[in-house]
Amino acid sequence: MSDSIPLASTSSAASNNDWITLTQGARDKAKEYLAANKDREVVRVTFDAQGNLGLELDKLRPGDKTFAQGDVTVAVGGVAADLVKGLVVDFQSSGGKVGFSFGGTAPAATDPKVAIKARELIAAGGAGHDQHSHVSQYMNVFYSLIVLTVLELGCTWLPIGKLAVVLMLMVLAVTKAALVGAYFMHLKFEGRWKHVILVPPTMLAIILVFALMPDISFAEHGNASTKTGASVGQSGHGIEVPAEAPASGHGNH
Amino acid sequence: MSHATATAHETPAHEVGEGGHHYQPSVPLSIGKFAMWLFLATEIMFFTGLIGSYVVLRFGSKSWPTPEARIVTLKTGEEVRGEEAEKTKDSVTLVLESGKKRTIQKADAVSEGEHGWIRNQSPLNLPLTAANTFFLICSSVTMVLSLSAAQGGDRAKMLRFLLATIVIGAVFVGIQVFEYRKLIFEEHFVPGTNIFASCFYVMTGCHGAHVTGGVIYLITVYLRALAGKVGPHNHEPIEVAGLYWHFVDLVWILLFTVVYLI
Repeated sequence: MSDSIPLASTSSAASNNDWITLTQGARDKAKEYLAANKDREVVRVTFDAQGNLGLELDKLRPGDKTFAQGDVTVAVGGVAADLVKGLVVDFQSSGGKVGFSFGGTAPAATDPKVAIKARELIAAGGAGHDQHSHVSQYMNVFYSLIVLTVLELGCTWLPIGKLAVVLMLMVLAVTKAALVGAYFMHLKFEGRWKHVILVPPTMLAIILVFALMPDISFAEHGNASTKTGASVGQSGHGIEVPAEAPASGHGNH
Repeated sequence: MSHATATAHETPAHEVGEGGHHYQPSVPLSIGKFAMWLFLATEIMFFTGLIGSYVVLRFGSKSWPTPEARIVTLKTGEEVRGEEAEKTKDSVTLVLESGKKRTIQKADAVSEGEHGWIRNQSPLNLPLTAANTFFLICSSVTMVLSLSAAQGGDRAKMLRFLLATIVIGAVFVGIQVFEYRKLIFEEHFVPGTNIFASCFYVMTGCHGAHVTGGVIYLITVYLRALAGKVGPHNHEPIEVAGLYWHFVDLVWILLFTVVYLI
């Protein structure tokens, strides 16, 4: 039954309806939650630090064992699958409390210590495979950053015009920044919220700078400041400036 | 993300997921990460303001102490300033402010001790700062490797890489301080020297303050990790601190290019 669900993953998806049972109520509730969270694929059985069983909405991860329950796919960390065999999940309201409840013959359901052990197993075993692929990715990004930095430093020696050098430098710098942002800060793998948070300040920053440029860069202020090193305010468009003004404008030594 | 236990109310205020991430049901993002990203959004505006004003001020200037800008003092006492276009053993061609080129012979110029006969207008130490940039990039790598170790359950590795990040960060600040000392006391390059100096000190100073704050922040995370509060079971603080640290590195990448290379 799980074959019909197009989930892209490397899970050992041997589905077994008898392994975990969701009652109708639990299935309906889980379906409801999944429908409300479109980028979550499965309902995951979790174990917290106190040995309590819980359910989470999540994506499929490598090493997961999945169990199809009607329209709902339940996942559990592969190494802990044996400990949830015989688990029954119900959704009920009793005595004013509403929530999922866990029962059945599963070792993890009857003994909290087993649940804690399951949690440790998943943390130790399940993520190992994940970690290796990420480390090599980070190292590749590192080497790319080094190469780009060396290219930046070498740019100034190229026999091309100043404008070309500046453009190359900016492209290299932005590429480096993008690599750090995408891979180290994990932005490449984050959801659409990153646009909501990052686009407005970036737009504001760029717009404000370009809005001020005509006032500050290209306005004629009449006299070069004699104390400051650069003659700010002189028109940048190549208008002839009296000979004595620039010489007095440098205060380096 | 919905996490419900047998006795939990159906929609709690927030849930705790794996790795200690705290979630709001309405936002598909953990609270700590969300808050840090909001803060980083303000920091984007802060640094863009600084770098943006640098660009604006430079655009409006007839001359600027770039890495190629030189000064040659002639034996007649005249000081010639311009960007280096060509250089041979006995002569240098400078592009003056007016746009005209002028070739000066070594024989006509004054040689000043260790500076030689051609001096740089910019007193900045490019090789040392390039090395510093490399160090900061390394610290970013160790930071992300620390997070990776925490996510993979390896506490010892996580602590080691976190400590490496702190040490390299401190080295970065140390080298910046060393450069500042040299600039201020030997080159007499202070914020009041010229506009370039003013911009330079504000930008690198603010960035240096951010790095220092970041090192302190990382030290607190490290101490919490030593105490067991942060680790593979609760790696959200490392991820959040990592976001800040990578941002600081990112800003430096841009700052270094704009201030030192262009």
